[in-house]
Amino acid sequence: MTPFADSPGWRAFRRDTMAMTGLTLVALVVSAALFADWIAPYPSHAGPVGDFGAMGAPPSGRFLLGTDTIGRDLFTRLIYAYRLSLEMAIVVLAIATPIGVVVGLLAGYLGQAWSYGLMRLTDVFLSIPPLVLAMSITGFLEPSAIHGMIAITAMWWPWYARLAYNLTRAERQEGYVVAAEIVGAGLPHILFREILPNCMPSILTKMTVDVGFVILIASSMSFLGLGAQAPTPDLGSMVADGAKYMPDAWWLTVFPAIAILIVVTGFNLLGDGLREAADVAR
Amino acid sequence: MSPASAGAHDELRAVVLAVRSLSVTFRSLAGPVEALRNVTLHVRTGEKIALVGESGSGKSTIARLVLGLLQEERDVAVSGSVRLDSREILGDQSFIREARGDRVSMIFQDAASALNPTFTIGDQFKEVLRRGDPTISNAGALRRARVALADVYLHEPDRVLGSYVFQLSGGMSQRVMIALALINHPDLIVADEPGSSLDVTVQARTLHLMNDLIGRRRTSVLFISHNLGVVREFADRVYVIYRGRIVEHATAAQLFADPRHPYTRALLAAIPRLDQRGIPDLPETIPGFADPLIEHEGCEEPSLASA
Amino acid sequence: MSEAFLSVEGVTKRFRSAGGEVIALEDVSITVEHRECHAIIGESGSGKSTLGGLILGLFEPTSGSVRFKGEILGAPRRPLRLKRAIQLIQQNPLSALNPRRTVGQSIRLALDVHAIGESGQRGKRVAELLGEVGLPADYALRSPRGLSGGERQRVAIARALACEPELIVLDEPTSALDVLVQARVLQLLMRIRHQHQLTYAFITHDLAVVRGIADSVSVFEKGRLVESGSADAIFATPQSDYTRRLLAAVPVVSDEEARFRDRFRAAEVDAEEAED
Repeated sequence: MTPFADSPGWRAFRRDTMAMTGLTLVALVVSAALFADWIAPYPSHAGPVGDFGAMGAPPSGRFLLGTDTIGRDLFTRLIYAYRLSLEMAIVVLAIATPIGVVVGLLAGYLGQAWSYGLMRLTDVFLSIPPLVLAMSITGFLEPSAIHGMIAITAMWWPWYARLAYNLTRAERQEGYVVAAEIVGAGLPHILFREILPNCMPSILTKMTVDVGFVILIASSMSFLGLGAQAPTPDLGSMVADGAKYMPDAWWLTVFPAIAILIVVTGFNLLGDGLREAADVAR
Repeated sequence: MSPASAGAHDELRAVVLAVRSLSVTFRSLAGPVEALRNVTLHVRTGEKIALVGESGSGKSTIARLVLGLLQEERDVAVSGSVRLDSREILGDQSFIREARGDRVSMIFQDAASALNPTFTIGDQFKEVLRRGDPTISNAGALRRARVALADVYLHEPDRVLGSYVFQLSGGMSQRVMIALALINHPDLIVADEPGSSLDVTVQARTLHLMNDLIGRRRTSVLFISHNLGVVREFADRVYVIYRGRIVEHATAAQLFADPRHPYTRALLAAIPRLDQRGIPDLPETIPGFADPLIEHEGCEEPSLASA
Repeated sequence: MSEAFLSVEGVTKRFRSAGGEVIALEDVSITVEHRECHAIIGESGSGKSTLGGLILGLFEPTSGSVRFKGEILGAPRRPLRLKRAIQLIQQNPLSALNPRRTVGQSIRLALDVHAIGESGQRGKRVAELLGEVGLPADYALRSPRGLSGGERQRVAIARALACEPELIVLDEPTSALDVLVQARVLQLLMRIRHQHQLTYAFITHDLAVVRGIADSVSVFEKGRLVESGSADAIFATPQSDYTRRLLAAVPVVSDEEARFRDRFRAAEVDAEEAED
């Protein structure tokens, strides 16, 4: 078995500029989020109080990306916003993916009535526009980071159900599935030990790209005031708040927007790169 | 079934295809792979030459090279010479692209994937005919197509011409491929495992037909196969290829009556007999094959000893 | 045995497809005796693979029944002991092994499912099985991806043996293999059959292979049973035109075989002319 560094998949990945760019961007974002407490120049500014002596200050040596209307360092707040976004994306995917994949596996393997029932249920969720669904849920419950996450999870699992369903339908006919059935293996073994491992590359790739998209949707929701509330630093809210002060205090909107761009692009490129590498590895 | 070519006439017939010292190496992510090593073979006018080998022997690589389908890819190193009608193919993309469909045509294993699924059969005939005669009219093309279909015993030619590939049976689409391959009266046909995806009765009929049609013309055939029984029925001369090298070359009659190379003998011995019970008892190793390159880890092709 | 080891009784199987209904098998009855190698011969569309599927329990007959040692074989649910007794070796060794599981894991599955031997001993049993099919024990750790077609098929044989079955359905087990590899795998299959007293239902279109290994034969055409009997009888004097046509079409490599086969060719030519 060749060591990973020599494997054709990794080598193809390394050669792909876009993929490496994505990896770099993601690494930056993740490091910023992980080491926020050490990197952030003004950790306290993540809260409700800033430096009243420097309210609305443009980018300078002291405040790299400027400060907001109550003197909080933008750079610091963006780093903590990254942490919040990543935490939220991880939790959403950690819940939505297993639910969706199990539904898809069952529907794809059992076929007939099961497939019909489960996939129609999935279709119901898929047919509702994401933001409308999110707004309904947070309208029910109060807007908050947690309720935003619940809303996003509810709208996200069907995509994994659909993905797993299609993958399972394809694998269903493969010889090794028939072989496992004939040997006498039970349903859990066939679904989780035989079929699922063959779906993992696609699922992991999708999860990677989805981190970016979950953050994007969450930002859209908090832009509308439906997500994290003040004083929590959140990418979408920061864009919304800063928009009022354009074009004078341009840094208040532009930098958060670029931050969103970086994280979404990074995960997108990384995900694409993983997909290409997975194809090569096969 | 096939007439053994009398040696005396051999030298008088022109060489249609001359391959000399051909070596092809692929650069893959896993390292360089030598697909062909110093291969030399020739085909004369009207001859039916078989190239026999198992999977991974390199036989399909030769087919693709002769048809000019290989040089268009990167990561391929080719050396040696391949001459079609005395013109060098290697390094000359334009010549072989012109010749393809006109002077050299092909018959593939699986008609359904070789023919274009989005065009009708009639359209494909028109396209092929235009390669031979760019001035041909639609009506003229269809007329010639009907004659060609009659030659391959496809009755109801207009129905066939109006159909798409998937609407025809395996045997029918194979006949269409044969008709397309012959219609421009090519000098050489390259047939890569023709009919091997068909049922045995259909394959037999198709090969019988091919034999018939080709025998009537002066077309040469380079016939690539893994099936020695089919080769025996069809070929005048045979080259046996193993791991990119030609290991034996003889007339069909000689090869089957008195095979020289241990690999050829093993191949012949390995086929179960139709007239007796019992399966062949192959020795553990093939004598004379101390080639250390036989044991090749992680390769798709089965090595003799570990098969 | 008074009752046949395996008997197919008046079986009809219809499938519903996009274009309508397909009758894959029509009123088919055959018997296979204990320890026989029975060849099921046919071209595409003959229904031979459908018959294999019925024996294995992948689906149920539309009418009629399949009996194993007198017991009716249901589908798709069957008692585990019946599943264990009837195993399969498929045509395509690439697809038959899960690329994401090691060779050892694929073989061991049978041992775990049927609780064969003690859990701690199963690794050793896997090594023994690999040895029986001529593969080194360390292959257990390998992925099927690095293996040649012949090696993969050997793994599939080891997996089938792990169940300690009584009947094995072999669906074109050597059709995807090169000639030399095919000879080796056939040798292995025959050796194993004798050593373990197995019964084979050998599905194939290759008449030369059938002649080499079969005790008895059934010939199928378009879902119907055309002829059946001992292999010696059918090859010497085939009763049906279709069987003669099949024999006439086989490509052979020696003059003796050509003489044997060409007896059927005269009949074949007559049949063809009658068709046109």
